[in-house]
Amino acid sequence: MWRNSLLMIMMFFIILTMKAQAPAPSQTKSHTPHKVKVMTQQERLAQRKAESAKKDTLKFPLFNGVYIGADLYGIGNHFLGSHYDAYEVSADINLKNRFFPVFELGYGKTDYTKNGSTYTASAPYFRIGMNYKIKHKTKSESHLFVGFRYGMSKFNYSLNTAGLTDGIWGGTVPLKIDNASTTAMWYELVCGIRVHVYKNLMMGWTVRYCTRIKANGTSEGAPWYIPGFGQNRNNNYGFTYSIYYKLPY
Amino acid sequence: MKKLLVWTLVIIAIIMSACEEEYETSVSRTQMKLTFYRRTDTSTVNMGVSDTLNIYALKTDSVLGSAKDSTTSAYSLPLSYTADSTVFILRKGAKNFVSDTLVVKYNAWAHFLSMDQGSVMYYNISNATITHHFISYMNIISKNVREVETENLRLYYVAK
Repeated sequence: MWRNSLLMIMMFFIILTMKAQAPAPSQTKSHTPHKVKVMTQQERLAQRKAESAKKDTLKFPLFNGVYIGADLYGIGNHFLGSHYDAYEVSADINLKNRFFPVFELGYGKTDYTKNGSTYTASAPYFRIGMNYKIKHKTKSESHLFVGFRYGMSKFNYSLNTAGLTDGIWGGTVPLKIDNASTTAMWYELVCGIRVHVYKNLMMGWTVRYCTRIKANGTSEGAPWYIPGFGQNRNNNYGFTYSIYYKLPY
Repeated sequence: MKKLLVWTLVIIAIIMSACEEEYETSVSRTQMKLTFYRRTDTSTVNMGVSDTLNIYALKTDSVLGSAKDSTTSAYSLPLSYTADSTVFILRKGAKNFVSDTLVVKYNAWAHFLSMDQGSVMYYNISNATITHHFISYMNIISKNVREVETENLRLYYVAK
């Protein structure tokens, strides 16, 4: 059920992104008849060479703009029944139309109860890294990218349980973690798409393969959830679907 | 555009496989692992006691470990949650039995694993002693009793 809902919503967003990428109808269909120039093979080759040469000679200045973004997936995830919420904004700079240094700032929280145990944690987190635009010899804002991130969150976590009851000898051992403080660090390999939607508005999604570096706990237990990383495992997959605005200067 | 579509499909596949819900089953009670070794003049072999063996614990009626043949050489035994020691009676033989008493002292505390796996008891064995009626001696191999079982105590008996 959860997966189906997720699939439906993702397909919706992806189709939306694809539609945004597609040329406008006015560009593809013309109501006025026009003459079609028949090109010879040699002319076509020459044209391609000329286009290729033009692309190769495209020079971009160092600074090409600043983009600010907000993640919509983290908010939507809450309504899909996820055990944790994430609210995230980002800022990145286009350098040479190729390198995009990124800073992401978010707030993650969970308040989850299962089998009589309640786990709570909430804290800000940040990621810093860079995206690399795969096809950078084009002026188009739409692009595929790969990149990396380093993430960190300093947070407190609490656990409330009824304790452990000994089924053989009897008796109960209490188990409670009260505001244990820890710092988690991780890195991410990312890839994704960003497409131009309208004027300075863009949309895109990013898939993240996250690897935990550190997340120490107490002797009573390690954190179960890490803000910005998700469930405390060696590796996690993450996903963000963001809307971006290119600042007009 | 086609490339974009291919990339999209590839990434959807990655996400879908990543979204496979991982159900971690709850972890059962942590247990101390005991192994038996048979000693002769020339060798030491990981081997059962070649007879009926029943293991009881004081303050409970349960038989915690039982074997009627020589093949069982390892036993997993629970430890009390609330006491700082557990006493086991190892009884060898069906009729004319011979018994040894094993006393295990430890520090115990509850440990949270995850919301799916739940919580378990962790123990650090501080001391272990045994009488010597059919067991000749004992080694503590690992002091830590955790959810992943490892050999904790090794008991040696002399072959007759």
